[in-house]
Amino acid sequence: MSFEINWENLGEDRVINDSLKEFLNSQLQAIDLPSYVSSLQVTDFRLGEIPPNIILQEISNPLNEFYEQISNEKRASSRRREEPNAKEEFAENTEQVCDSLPSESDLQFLVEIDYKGDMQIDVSAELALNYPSPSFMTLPVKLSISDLGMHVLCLVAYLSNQLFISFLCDVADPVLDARESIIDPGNSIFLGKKGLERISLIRSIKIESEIGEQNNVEGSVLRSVGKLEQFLLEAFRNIVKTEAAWPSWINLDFNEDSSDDDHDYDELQR
Amino acid sequence: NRKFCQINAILEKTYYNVDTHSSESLDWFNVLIAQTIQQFREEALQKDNIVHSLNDFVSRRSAELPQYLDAIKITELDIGEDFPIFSNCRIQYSPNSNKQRLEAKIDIDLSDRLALGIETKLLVNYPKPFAAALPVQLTVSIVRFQACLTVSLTTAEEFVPTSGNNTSCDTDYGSGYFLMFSFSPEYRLEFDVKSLIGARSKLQNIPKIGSLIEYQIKKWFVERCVEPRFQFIKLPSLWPRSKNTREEKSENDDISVT
Repeated sequence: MSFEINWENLGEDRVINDSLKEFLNSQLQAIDLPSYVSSLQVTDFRLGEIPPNIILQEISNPLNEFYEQISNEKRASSRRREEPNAKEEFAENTEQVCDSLPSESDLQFLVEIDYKGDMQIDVSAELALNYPSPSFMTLPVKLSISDLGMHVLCLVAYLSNQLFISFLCDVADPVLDARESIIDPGNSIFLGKKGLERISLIRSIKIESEIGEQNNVEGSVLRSVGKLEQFLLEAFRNIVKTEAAWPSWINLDFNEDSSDDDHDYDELQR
Repeated sequence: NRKFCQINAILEKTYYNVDTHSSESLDWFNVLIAQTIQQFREEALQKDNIVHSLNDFVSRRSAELPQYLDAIKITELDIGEDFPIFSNCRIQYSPNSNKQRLEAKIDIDLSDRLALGIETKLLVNYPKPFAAALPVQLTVSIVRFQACLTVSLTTAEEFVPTSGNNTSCDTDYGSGYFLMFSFSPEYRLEFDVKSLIGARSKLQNIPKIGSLIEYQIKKWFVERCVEPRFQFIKLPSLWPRSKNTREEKSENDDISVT
């Protein structure tokens, strides 16, 4: 433990839990649902009472990729502002000021996050029963995800008043065996961008489902629920992988001009 | 040109040729400065609670700390035991002054340990204030300072304050003489930064932390007294006055004290 975490203030905070719920829901919205599910929604999110254990591993300068993103965004927004007139005149001037240059006060932490807490996510779904005929009936199902276990390395960079958070790999990932500095940009973690090449970031996860009493004995219903559980697990793993794991990151902007969105998860997929 | 003639007359009448005069040692000055510093150190040490009073000072001003810092506690203070050595003093025309101003160039060298140790916490205020805290222990010491010092005596007319918000100095800075000093940009300032970061599992002496601190101190220094910035200090009147007159204690007084 390097960080002293004031978890009592966080775990039960309604605003934080709700904003995480919204984030997950917006992610679920983008997923193609299989034929046996008709709606999928997070109904409750609780961070729980057990905090993660966070150990600081390294402090360094932020990676170039973060500067590139800020530069690209600045370029994009300055172009937007110039439009519709006087486009050409400004183009040359802005080209120079767009680059986000490293400042001496920028910082990047490499942290080890060990989580084995009691976070719980409740999900509601409509299960479509396709037997004996397609959409024969729909059943409301409640699922709960719990017992999430993670032990990962994570980058937290602070530059230009923005925070970048990106999960790198599981602490037991074989890429770490080479004992090269993990923040070396030539490291295989940064080059190997295909998720499958790495150990899953989620070590353990448990999912339980609840459906109406009278259907508990029906084999086909149980099978579909099993399929739904599997589907949800995969979806959950994918959200973590594509939204928060390198080469993607969660970007929090603390600049005042970003007031257009209260809790803006500027998730970026590249 | 009147100014130019004045300066030439001064140089002539003080037997100083800026081109041929050899540089002087400032040994006498070093001794007097060392005495002054020594006295200052003794005063500081006599109130052995100097760390205490500094802590009081810091805690009184804690409201001014940035949001990401917890209260600062001073754990160590080393005011050093060596003295600066000034040498190689010469007079020259100020560059870019068109030979209208004179200045003294002096080399300064200090090898000492001036250290400040602090303890604080880096606060993580997201997603809520005080969500997490990272304990930080730092000891910053200056171990070497080498620079070329420029000193001149001048009037206020040719200079502007860098911070334009102080109107009070208009009256103050209008007349009289000022001591102006500045360091050349090729100075050498060496630090020794020790850091310990983390609660139970700690990181020790991270280079990035050292360079971060060094950068901040050098920035502070450069913004105040490295060319083209000057420190500009009003000199008091040296006209003999009765309220400034003292004499040595008589022997009787000495005996009665001991």
